[in-house]
Parts: sequence; structure tokens; C-alpha cells
Amino acid sequence: MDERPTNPDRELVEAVLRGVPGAFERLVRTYQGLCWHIVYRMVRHPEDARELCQETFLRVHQCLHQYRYESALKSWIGQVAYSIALRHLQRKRIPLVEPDAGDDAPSPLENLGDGFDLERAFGDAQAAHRLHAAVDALPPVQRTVLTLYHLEEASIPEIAAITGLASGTIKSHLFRARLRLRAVLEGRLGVAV
Amino acid sequence: MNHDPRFPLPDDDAGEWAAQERALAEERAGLAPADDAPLRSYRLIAHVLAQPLDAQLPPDFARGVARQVQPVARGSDTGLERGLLALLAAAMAVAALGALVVYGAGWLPALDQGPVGELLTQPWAWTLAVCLGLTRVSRGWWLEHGQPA
Repeated sequence: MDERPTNPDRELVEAVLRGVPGAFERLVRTYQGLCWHIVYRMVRHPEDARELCQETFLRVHQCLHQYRYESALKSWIGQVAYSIALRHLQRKRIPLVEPDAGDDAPSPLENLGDGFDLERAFGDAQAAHRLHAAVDALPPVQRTVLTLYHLEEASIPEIAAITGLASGTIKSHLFRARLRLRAVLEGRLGVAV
Repeated sequence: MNHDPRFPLPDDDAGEWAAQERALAEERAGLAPADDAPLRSYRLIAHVLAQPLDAQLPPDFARGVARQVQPVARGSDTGLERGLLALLAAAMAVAALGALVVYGAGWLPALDQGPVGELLTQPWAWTLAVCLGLTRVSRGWWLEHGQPA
């Protein structure tokens, strides 16, 4: 008797490889949200992002026989989406991360205090509007790492598997991006809204 | 891109990281907002970052992509089609062999006198034909099962 535990990833992949009707559509439907979050956050342009998502799933279909179940299917598809978006930005010569300010640069933390009254400064809607604009202004990799962590609720190891970044680098991106957003929110840093 | 390894953080930053993570956990758990100002800011940040993006994929995206790969699936044939094709090829080979046995006595001697007949008597010609056939069959199998993307 085969006592191998059923793995939804394996079942779905094998169904797609066998050409079971509707299996590939099910795979796309399952992971299109993840793909969109990565690609749209990276490139920001909706039309380009749609085309790149399509390219991602066509690549997934073409290469699925090479998937060896060494990582979760989610991470593998995320990795394909991330590399396609990354290549798109590199072709357009868009900087992926902010230039390193060096050790002498003041930390945004130095400008922040504990006495800021959020409610008095803005209504929630205005604050959210400022934050959305500030997120858009972040470098592509920071935007994507933030989105994977907060919206996709991906763990740091999962983000590492998708992006190929080291865990320390991911934490550093998260830390600096959220610190920057706090500074923008509290009016210490300007952002075009 | 792994050029930003500023982790673990200095003590001041470690406290800030802890506030960011605590605010995220409290936001996900739906706890009441804290009185602490940095925590309130990070709660709002966590709340905004968890909102769906302003643009989305069209509702029929999955169907559209699946439709694009259908011709490829049809081109590579199903197992049943492949089986029927193999059966047909085998039947044709048996029929050709049968025809050769029944009617070959009449025209094989004629071939024997020409250059074609001379070629057919050479073992290397048959070896070459078998090699070419095997190459063709294995190439088809490789394209279907083992082609790297």
C-alpha cells in the first residue's frame, strides 16, 4: 500500500504534467495573487505587470517538469515571477535598491521621537494616502519584500527562497523601509502625494 | 544584491525592530491600539501594507493563460493518441513485411541486379538505416520529455 502523504503541490503539478483538463488553470488561479503582488510591486506599471505575469505562468508551464519539490511550489513560482520582473527592470535600467548611504549617514531613527500624535496630525485616510505614496516611492526590492512580508504573510525564509536574498538583507530592507515609512508618516520625511 | 547585511542591528535599532514586529503581530491579531506613539504609527503602517493593491489582474486571467498553452498540449498528444499512432505504425510494418513475403519473390531478383540491390546486400547499409531510425525516435522522445527550457 502506498503510504506516501498526499501533497497538494505534488498532486497539482502531476495533474498539470499529465495534461488533466483544467489543472493548469487551477494552478494559475492558485498562484496568480502571489505573482501579481511580486510583479506589480516590482514594476508598478499595470500593463507591463500583466504581461510579465502572463510570461511567468507560460514559463512555469514550460519548466514545470524541472520542478523537483525541493521548495514549496509557491516559492518556486514566486522565484520565477521575481526573476522575470527583475530582468524587466534591469533591461529598463531601473535601480533595484537605494544607493548605500554609507556608515556616516544619519539614521532616520535619529529624527524620530516618541511624542508624535498620529490622530492629531492626520485623519486615518490622509495618513493612509501618505503611506501609499511613500510605499510607491521605495526602491523596487524594498517594496516587494514589504509586500511579501505584510500582504502575502510570507516568512523571511520564504522571501529568501523567492528573492535569493540573504535573511539578514531581507530584515534590513524591512527595517529600513518601515522606519522610512514611519518618518514619512510623522512628517519628518517628505513624499510627493 | 546581497550587499546590505546590516543585521543584527545596533541596540537602538533592535528596539525599533521589536516595535515594528510587535505592531505587525498586534495588527494581525486585531488587538486594541497601544498608547505608545511609535507602536501606533507602525500599526497604521502594518494596516496599510496589508491592504490589497490598487490594481488587480483581470478576473479571466487564469483562463486566458490556460487557453494559451492548450495548443502546446494538443501538439504533444495525449497517451491514447500516442498509443493509437504506435499501433498504426506496427500494423503498417507487419503489412509491409507480409507483402514482401507474398509478392517479393517476383520483384526482389530484379532489384538484386541493380545498384539498389547491391546496396541492400551490404550489412552496413542496414546498420546505417537502423541508426538513423533510432536517432529519429530518440530525438522525438527527448523533445517531448527531456528538453531543457
